Amino acid sequence: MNEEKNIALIGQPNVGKTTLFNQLTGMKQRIGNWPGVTVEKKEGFFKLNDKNYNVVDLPGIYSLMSDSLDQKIARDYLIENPGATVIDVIDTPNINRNLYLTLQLIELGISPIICLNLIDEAEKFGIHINDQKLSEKLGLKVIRTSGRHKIGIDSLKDSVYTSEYRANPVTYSKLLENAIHKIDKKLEEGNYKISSTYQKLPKRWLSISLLESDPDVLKEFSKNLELMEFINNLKAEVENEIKHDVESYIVEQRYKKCDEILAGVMVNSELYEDIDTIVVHPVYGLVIFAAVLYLMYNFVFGVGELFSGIIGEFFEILGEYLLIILSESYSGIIVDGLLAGVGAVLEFFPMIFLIMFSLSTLEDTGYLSRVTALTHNIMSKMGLSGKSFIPLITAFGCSVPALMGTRFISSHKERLITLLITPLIPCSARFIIIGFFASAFFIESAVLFTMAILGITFGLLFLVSYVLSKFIKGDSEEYIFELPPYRIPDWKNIFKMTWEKSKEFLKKAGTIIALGSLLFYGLITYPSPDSNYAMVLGNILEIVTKYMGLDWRGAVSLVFGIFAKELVVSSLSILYPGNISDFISPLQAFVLTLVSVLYIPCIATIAAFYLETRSIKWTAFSISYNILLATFVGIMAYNIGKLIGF
Amino acid sequence: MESILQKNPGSYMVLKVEGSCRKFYELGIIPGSKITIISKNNQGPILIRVGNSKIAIGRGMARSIFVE
Repeated sequence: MNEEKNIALIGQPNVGKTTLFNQLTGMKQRIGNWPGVTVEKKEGFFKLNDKNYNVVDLPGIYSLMSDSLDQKIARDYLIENPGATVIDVIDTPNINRNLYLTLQLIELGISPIICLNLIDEAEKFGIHINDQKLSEKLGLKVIRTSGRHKIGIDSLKDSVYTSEYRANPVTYSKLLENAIHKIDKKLEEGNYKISSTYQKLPKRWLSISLLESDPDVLKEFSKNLELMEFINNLKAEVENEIKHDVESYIVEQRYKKCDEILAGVMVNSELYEDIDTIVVHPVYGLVIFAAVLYLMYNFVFGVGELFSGIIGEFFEILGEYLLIILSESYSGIIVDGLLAGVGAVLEFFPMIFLIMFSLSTLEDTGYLSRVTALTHNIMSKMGLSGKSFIPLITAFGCSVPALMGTRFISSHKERLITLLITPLIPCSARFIIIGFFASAFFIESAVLFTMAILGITFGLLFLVSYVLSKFIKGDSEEYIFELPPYRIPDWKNIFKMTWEKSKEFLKKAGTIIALGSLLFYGLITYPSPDSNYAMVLGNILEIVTKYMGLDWRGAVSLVFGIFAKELVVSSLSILYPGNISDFISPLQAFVLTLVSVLYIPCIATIAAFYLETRSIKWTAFSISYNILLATFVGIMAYNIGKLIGF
Repeated sequence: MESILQKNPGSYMVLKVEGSCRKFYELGIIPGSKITIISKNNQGPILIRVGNSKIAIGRGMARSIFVE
């Protein structure tokens, strides 16, 4: 077998790391999760000469402290894979701040390859770097790259293959160095019992981390009370001299070093572009946002319907054809079961693809992060922060990635509330249900119908969020968020991201929904079509659902929707062959839509919710409040509807 | 000493930061650095520029950045 080497890409957020990753690995990629957490792990591969390379895209992080999940993941990877070649991707226009991370890498004993990324953007604005000089100062290989314009990709691959650089030692002020040296010595003499991974790390790094109160390192040594006391005394000594805290002192020292390194290496210039004064303006900004949403929905549903029609026709023709060629004993289950179920759901694939595409585009241009700033004020009124807005808008696509997306909200309270209300946002599967009923019952007033459902849902979402914020204890997070520069979207990356996400949907249609449709057909056909298993189950649930005007059929379809919400549509298509509007009234359809949007999120969402909270208590709470809310709203809507004469 | 919440758009030098310092430090807001207030409305976050990056800061946090 060929030799395989690990490469890790590391860098701050918005440095163009993912684009570079795509350029390096092409289409040979695998997306999984980091062990134990639901943070996405991207791996890719490339081959050069006789070597195979396994490239890992680490989460974008500002520093190597272990106080946030992303930072911990990146750091743990570096600690556990000492043999990996590290590529440090730098946002050249912000090189000063980015070198901070580089210095931390060097402290950790790593000699990364430096990528001056977005070099084209930087030079356009008059920022010039003498990469030769920078390389000499750091003792590291420095390469000019641009993922978007494919600059420097080959030389990056080459240097991964050949380079054996050793970073120049970095030293800080005498005062700090003395303190570090004292702890070094103490660690050397003390021979403390620490795990073997930590034992292999540079003593200097351990010393700095202890001074900086890094949570993980402190925990590792916490049993040695005598050492802890030694460090506290030492810190007090230093603090007495500098008159402020050691933690900020170390940060200042690193920044000072960055300045020193860049002196004589860089010609700086400031970028000006002040369109954001309008884009995040409390009034103009909202107008722009409304316009963007309006355009997006027109695009998604306008273009989507065109393709949906074609897919619908295809399944109709396929069904008729199969009815002719299949023997009667099979044709029922294949055409009325499998095809009706899967077909009803696949018709909505174009919409899902387009929603994912639009969201990826908005994210890639940088607009989505403006929306967080824009909506922060409104969101804070309902106990949330502007940061909650990105997960909530992602939830229009699918609740699972939305739940994962909450992890960058650092306040426990706001994250928990966001997690709890995210399942209330109608995901693309629930749009399928809305679309299904809209086209079956409310063709004339489809927009009004959709708006009514969405209006009620959002009203409840605000209400629930407001109520939860009064009951859940904890501090609200202060809002601080970097707005990346506006960029022309990287279409290749967008199509890739869109495809990755919509592939999941196709997989679901081919597996869970196909199986569910078959199972469902079985349940309503056996033991006999007139008294079947589904009826038995439905009759039990009818005790409650009859107050919403739903008989056993509606109840059973809701049960199936728990596996995947699309199955509500599949089941109803099987239960009511032909035109559903001949069987139930528009009011019943309205209630059924509303209830299916609100009740228990699907199994995948429940699982993701548990993984994100690691709390059975909150998971149970999430499920039960959704059911209660749906039941209550369903009963109210039905009775009010009847009262006003529908 | 005035916080950026009390200042008008323009460039200032950071004197000190309070509270969640680490977050500020990571973004390059440290004593001695230059920051520019780009826009400030009656409500909502304040936009500032540090180096070549743009940062939106909630009003609560803006209160703990002191400049001159």
